[in-house]
This record gives sequence, C-alpha cells and structure tokens, in this order.
Amino acid sequence: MGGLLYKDFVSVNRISKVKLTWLLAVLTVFYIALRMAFPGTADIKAFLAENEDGQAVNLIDSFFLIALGLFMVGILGLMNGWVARIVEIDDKNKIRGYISALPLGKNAYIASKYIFMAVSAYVFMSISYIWSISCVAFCREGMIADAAQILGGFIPVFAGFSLFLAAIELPLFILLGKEKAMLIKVAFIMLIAFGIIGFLFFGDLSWVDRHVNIAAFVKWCEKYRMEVAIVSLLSPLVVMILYYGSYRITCYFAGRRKANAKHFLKCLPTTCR
Amino acid sequence: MERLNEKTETKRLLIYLVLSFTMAWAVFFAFILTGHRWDGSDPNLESFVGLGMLTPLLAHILTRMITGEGFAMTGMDSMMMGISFKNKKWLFFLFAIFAPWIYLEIGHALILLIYPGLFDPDGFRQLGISKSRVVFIPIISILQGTMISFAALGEEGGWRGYMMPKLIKLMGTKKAVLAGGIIWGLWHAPLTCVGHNFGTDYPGFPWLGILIMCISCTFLGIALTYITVKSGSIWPAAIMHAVNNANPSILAVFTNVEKADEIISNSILGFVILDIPMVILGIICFVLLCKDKGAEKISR
Repeated sequence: MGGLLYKDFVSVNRISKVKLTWLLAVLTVFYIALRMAFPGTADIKAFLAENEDGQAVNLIDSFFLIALGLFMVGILGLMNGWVARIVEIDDKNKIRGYISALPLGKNAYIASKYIFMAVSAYVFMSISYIWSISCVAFCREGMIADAAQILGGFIPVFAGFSLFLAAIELPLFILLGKEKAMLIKVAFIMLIAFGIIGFLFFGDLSWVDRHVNIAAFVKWCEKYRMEVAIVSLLSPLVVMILYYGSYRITCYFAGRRKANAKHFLKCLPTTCR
Repeated sequence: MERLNEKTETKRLLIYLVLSFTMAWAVFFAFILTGHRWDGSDPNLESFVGLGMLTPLLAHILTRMITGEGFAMTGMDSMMMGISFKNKKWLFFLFAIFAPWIYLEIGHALILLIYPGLFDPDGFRQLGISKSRVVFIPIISILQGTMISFAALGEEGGWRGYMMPKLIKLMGTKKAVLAGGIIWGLWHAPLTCVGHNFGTDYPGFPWLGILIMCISCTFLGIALTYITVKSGSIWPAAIMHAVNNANPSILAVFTNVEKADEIISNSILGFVILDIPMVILGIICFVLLCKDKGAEKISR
C-alpha cells in the first residue's frame, strides 16, 4: 500500500519542472516572511483606508487575505486535477495489470487512490492553517482580521469539499477511464457555466445585490460562531462517510466488471480464447 | 560493534536536539525579544508562536537528511507515520481522543472540590454562549484536536517519532522517559519564562515553572510514548497531544478564572492540581510500558 501511495505522490509531485513539495514550502515560507515584514499593525499611512462603517482598514492586510483565499481556492483546483492525473498515468503505464500480479488485496488499488486523496486533503488543510494563522497574527484589529478568522474557520469546509469532489470523480475515472470521465466532467462544468451565463443574461441581478452581502455574512458568522465552528469541523467527517460510500460503490462495480469479464471469457468457444 | 552503534546513535540524537532547540528557540526568542509576553498578548500572535511546535518534526526530517537514515514511514527505525487499525490498534486512537477529556474533567473537578469558591454557575457567559451549548465545548475541542492536529503532529513527529526511540535504544525505557520528559520540558523554557501556562506571578519564578513543566512533560510524555509504542504510529500521540492542548472540559467553563488569582495564591498550584489525574495516567502507562517489551523493539 505504501508503494502505491508513493507512486501516486511521485506522479503528482511535478508541475512542469518544479517539484510541488518544494514549491509549497517556498511559497509558505515566503508568505510568512512577507507577513512578518509587513504587519497590518504597523499602520503605514499610505496603506490605510476607511470602510463604510468608518473603521480603519489596512490594505496590506487585505492583500494577504486575498492571497490566503487564492491559495485555498488554488489548492482546491489543484487537488481536483489530481484525480485525472493519477488515473491517467496508471492507464498509460498499464499499472493495474502489474498490480494484479502483486500480493495485494483485490481492492488495494482502489483504496490507495482514496487514501491518497484523503491524505492530500489533510496535508493541504494543515498548510492552509499555517497560512491562515500567519495572516491573522499580524492583522490590524477590525473587519479584515474578522474576515481572515472566518476564512480560516472555513478551511475544514474547503477540505471537505475537495473530498466531496474526489468522492464523485474517483469512481468515474477508475471505472470509466480518463477519456469518458473527462467527457462527463467537462459536460457538467459546461452545464454550470451555461447556467451562470443564462442567469447573467436573463436572471434578476438585483437579487444578488439584495441577498449577497459579505459584511452581513461576517456578522452572521460572528453571531453564530460556535455553530459555524461545529458545522465547519463536522463537514469533513460527514463527507468522509460519503467518501467511504463512494469507495464501496467503486469496489462493487469494479468487482462486477471483473466477474463479467471472466464470465464472458468462459462463454467464448475455447478456440476464441 | 555495539559501542560504535551507540556512538552513532548518540551523534544522531545530538544533531536532532541541536536542530530542534535552535529552530524552536529562534521562534520563541523572536517573540520575546520583540517585547511580547505570554500573559495579555494577542491570542492570534500566540497561535503564530505555536507554529514553533512544527520545529521538532522539521528537525527530525533534517536530521534524517544529514545522517542518511532514510524516510521509511513504517517499520523499524522509521518515522512511524503509518496508520494501522489491525490487532485492536484502533483502541489507542479512541484512547487518544477521549483520555484527555476524562483526565482534564477530573482535574477541573478536583480544583472545584478543593476551592469551591471558584465555581461560577454563570461562567459560560464569559464565552458568549448559552448554557445549552456548553456541552458542545468538549465536542469542538475534540474535533479541533483530531482534525487540526498538524501542530501537535509537529511536536510528536520529533519527540515520539525520533527522540524517544533513540533514547530508549541508548538508555533503556525507564531512564529514557525521564530524560525525554526533561528535554521536552526544557524545550518550552523560553516561553515558560514569559508566562506560558503558569503566568509570571508565582514564588520561584521562573525556575519553579520550568521544573513543573519538566515534571508535567515527563508524565504526559510517558502516556504519549506508551500509545506510540503500542500503536506503532505517532498519530495517536499527535491526536492526544492536540486534544490535551485544546482543553476539552465542561467544568473549565464553570471555573471563574478571574477569581483564581485571589483564591489560589500560587498560580502554579492550580496547574499542579489540574495535572494530578494526568500524572496518575502517566504512572499507569509507565508500569505498562516497563512490563511491555515493545518499547525496546520499536527502538531497534
């Protein structure tokens, strides 16, 4: 199992010529160093602005908050691309054929993919926390600090969402192969994109103005801090139940496919085998 | 040959300790020398300094790179990062999740029994929550401890993942747990000197604080070493450490911290009483650890 996980790690660790682990380490150190060098508490006049409530807001803090948000979303996107990558490389190198000859359990291959994605989600959640703690530690008290804290509180939700996407994509990619799964994925993304475009053209845009209010959301999150914390922390656990269900379903269909293949072979005349 | 091995192992351990102390103390002293103290400083900044907890694991990785010991995740001389639930090892994960809740709840009950004046039925209002939601506090602490365990994993990855197996190999289980506890306690010393855990207002400051921290680390360290040895993984220790730090106690909410300074004249005394159940757990684990030969096996 360790070997299978390491194989997947190697297959995703390289982005063109850069090693992802080094890239993440350098980015994290760079972010922490910059955050320490430019604390929001320093009150540099050129970077001070006022929000609608008349509170002083340090723009440096908002840069770091945006960087944190981008990092979290970027990681979500990165992990989403991994499912296709780890299955594609296995298909290309006929890994499944080799693995069937190894003394491993019949579902070890499928389990390795699920474990790999879960471990990745935990690692990225931890790195996001390091970024979030660094961001909040040097923030000037006020709206940006509150927003950064709330964003930090939603890190488990991001991790849960990445696992949720993996729970949907892994069965598709493992059972149908990369090409068919990509086709379904692209069709689904196009459907959502068309929905959004349709809403922008024909929908009531004032509804967004009336109902989407980040400041109100921040206040709401502060009011129900405990409930939000519980829901946020529970979300990856709830998704893990779905994730396990997804694993069992993949194993079931993979097992059936093998059984069907064997049955088909038995039905063939011996000369055709 | 054995003597040569002993020399190599001592050298490796020293490299690890120098790296671990240098990196962590650099973080701690950066905090102290910029004029910060633990009491009254911003909790967010304290969390940032808490990232110093990652340095033992970093030191472990760097030491293995320097000494060329390899990065095996499971088995002998490994980083013990693997997880196995076979042979009822899942029980140690359950123990890691719930034991800190139990011993901290008993510890707080002891404090309230000895100093009944500290009981404040409206104490939960300080947290801005209603009484019905108090029950969620241990749940949140346990969830946080289990899921956001990376900082504690940083410490355990170094102390239980590298230092303890080396110490056990060099001096046997009994002496190793004592030495390990003292080293771990001393590692916290710069923060103890600026009020971490005990504040600064107690007789014998800061030496008594450092001594109590070493004793506390020894007993908690024994329990953590025991579950590491029995599970063959540092994960239960990381989870237990994280849950312990998250202080999952309902009675803590009903303890008036402001009155504590008046009623308990010595702030260290409160910490000692709170730790009594954990010390008892440490003693039980020590007896079990000495009976079990697993500790010697894991260090080989």
